[in-house]
Amino acid sequence: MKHEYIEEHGLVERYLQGTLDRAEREPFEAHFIDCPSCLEELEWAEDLRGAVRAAVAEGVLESPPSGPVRWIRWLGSLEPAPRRALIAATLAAALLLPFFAGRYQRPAAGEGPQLNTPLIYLSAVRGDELSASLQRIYLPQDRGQGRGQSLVLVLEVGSDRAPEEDGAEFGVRLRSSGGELLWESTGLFLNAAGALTLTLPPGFLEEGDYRLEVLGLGSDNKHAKLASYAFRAVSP
Amino acid sequence: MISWASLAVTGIEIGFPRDLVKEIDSQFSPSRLAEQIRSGDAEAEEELVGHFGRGIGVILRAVTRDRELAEDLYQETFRLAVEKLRQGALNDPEKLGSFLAGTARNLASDHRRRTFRRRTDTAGDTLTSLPDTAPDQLGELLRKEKAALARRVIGELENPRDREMILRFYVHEEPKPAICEDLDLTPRHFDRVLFRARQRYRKKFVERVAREGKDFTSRTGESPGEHHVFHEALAEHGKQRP
Ligand SMILES: [Zn+2]
Repeated sequence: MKHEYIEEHGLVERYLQGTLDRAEREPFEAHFIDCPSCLEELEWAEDLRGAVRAAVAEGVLESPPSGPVRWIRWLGSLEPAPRRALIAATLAAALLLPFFAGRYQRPAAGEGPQLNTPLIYLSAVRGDELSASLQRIYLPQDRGQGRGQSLVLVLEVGSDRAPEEDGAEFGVRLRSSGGELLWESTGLFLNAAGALTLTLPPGFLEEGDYRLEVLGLGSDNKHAKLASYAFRAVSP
Repeated sequence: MISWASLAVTGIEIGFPRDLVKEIDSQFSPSRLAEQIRSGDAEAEEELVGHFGRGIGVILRAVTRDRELAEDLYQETFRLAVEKLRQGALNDPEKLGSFLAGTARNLASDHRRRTFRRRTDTAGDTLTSLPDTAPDQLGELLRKEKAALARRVIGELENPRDREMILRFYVHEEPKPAICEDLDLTPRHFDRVLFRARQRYRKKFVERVAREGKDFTSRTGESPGEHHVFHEALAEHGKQRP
């Protein structure tokens, strides 16, 4: 593999993001494992990424809202196969959300379709990553009146964490930062993108820190915690 | 495990394998090394770790996204690889690097699968298998220092689109093509901005270490996975000084 190619295709950053397919990833690994200059780039890129995330978690850098409209536009430009998978995942995220049949009220009856519902991707946290990953979520304006937008949280558990566990059943618990159980639901399955999605109606979250736990159902029919996600809800 | 050579720069002693690696690199041949390990040469095993350790660390961290777990799997990767090499399991010794990369990746994926099964199969409702511990104080300090540097690097970018680009890529992990299209950036520009940000961050880090020297390193310690930053920084600082 040539450095020209690595540079031209942004392999360093894409490798760390986990978005290289096997055909690019394997030769790149075989190359950098023996290449001090690529290793250097990879290590500093890792470090910068961690630092930027820490800065956002610390509140010294403001995280920009991510843009679903852009996503959808971008989807249109893809080849049919990946587009199908991504559209399926996006639709699942935006529409097929049975979870809020849980303990809290559904969005107000008669509420029409919502456009451009923000999709918020949460990454699992583990041990010392916890506070570094306290992602900010901007609460919808007008939420007091029960109007405004819902938020869709996307928990990427599947494809990466448990690739061979197709059909496995999951549960989700939402806790306050103090550990109080606010809501839970079980009997959930991963969507096509290996994610669980959660629609939060406007007015559901108050400002504060929250923790989401994803549970897996074992053969003994008991739930065990698989992953945690932490976020801070703030007013825009 | 590698015997860490020690390097003193500006009076700071820090565990550092680089000089060892350099010494090895001049005569490095994967097939020679594979053959030596096959015949039971213990020094060759050490050389294997010295030569490929850094890359294995990158792969394990990339797959697990968990520094602590990556540290745990590091030795296991080499143990497994050496075992296979001794058995002569490597058909093409020139592909030693790919073989090690594959070993690390498989081990990390297997580990995740096993952990997943164990958690789902045996654990009851009360099990909290993921540690919820807060970062230790030293790690926390280092994180804050780095956060401040990142803020400065990003704050110094003149183009607001570049700032948004980096944040969306690193924080929201939006795919590069989506960001490029939305912000009307070419992929080339995207790569260039990230590359420059990396260089600037690195430069600032090196300057910071140089300015605060021992104080900085003793406060921040040698937390797992951070070695490279220090030895890079220190080595570079060493180069700058006559
Ligand atoms: Zn290279």
